[in-house]
Amino acid sequence: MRDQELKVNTSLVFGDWDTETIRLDWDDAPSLDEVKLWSYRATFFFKLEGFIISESSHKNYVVTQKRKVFFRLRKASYHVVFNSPVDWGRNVHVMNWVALESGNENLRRYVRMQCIKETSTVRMSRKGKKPIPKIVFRYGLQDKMIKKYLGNRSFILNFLRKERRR
Amino acid sequence: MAKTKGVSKRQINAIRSYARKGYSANKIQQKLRQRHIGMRRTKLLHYVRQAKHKRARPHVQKHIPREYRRQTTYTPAPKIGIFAKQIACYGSEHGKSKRIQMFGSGRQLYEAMQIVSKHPPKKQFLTISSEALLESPEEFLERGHWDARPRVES
Repeated sequence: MRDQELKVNTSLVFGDWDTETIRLDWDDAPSLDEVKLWSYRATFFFKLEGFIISESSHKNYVVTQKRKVFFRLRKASYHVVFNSPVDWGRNVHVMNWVALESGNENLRRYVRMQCIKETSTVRMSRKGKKPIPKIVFRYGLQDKMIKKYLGNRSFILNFLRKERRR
Repeated sequence: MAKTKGVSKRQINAIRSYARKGYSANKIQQKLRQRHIGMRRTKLLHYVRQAKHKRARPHVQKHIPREYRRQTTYTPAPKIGIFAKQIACYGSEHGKSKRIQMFGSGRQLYEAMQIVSKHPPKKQFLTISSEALLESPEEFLERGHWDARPRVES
């Protein structure tokens, strides 16, 4: 799917929401490996069957001096969705466990926001300059909540594509 | 999983004949073992039930001590509907973040998304079915427009 080529109305953001799916938003994650590590840990510790990681956006940092590049750093944001359906109490438990254990302040902020709303949401469309999230990694079973997530994702992308043609 | 996998016709016929005689499952297993055609208890019980025209008992887990029970997966309560889609739309209007969470069938949700993409909700946070929104959009949505550059969080 050519997600990056879609040019949609950036004034409104579309996302997927419910209380049964565990979602994590790793803003400015140190690396994809760390996101994978914590996703694996949560999957095995809470028996979540599987997960999917999508890259929502990335930033390139370049340190130069006298036109010489000294250091390049690529930081990305990732969304993680787990397969197993859980109740809201369990959902909050898992999200907080990962946020506290990993020590990622942005993730903690995301979890607090979800607790205020009492639902968990991840973005599926563009947001300002940020592109549509792109799937980068899958692990384990994908038949329950991930299937639902992917169904909603294709629904939103089809909607945006049709609206663009109008 | 196919139940007949790994079970021969000889075994099935033997189970049926013993069940007709009124033997219990344990006795059938004993007889099968004597004939060197023993099988796993789960499958045996399945075929014994078939032969005796009986259903499996509900809530079998309650007979097992808590520490040995299998962890069952959570099944979501059908408040919103099992087949409903759930879409959140969020943005900002005059710098104030606004969010609307909708659920419903595909077609209704599509139409509701078309309306919401033009007009933001009156409330800052709204959860509503797409059907209710389509019935009276003026009640829930404003005539204003979304900001061009939203500053919102997921």
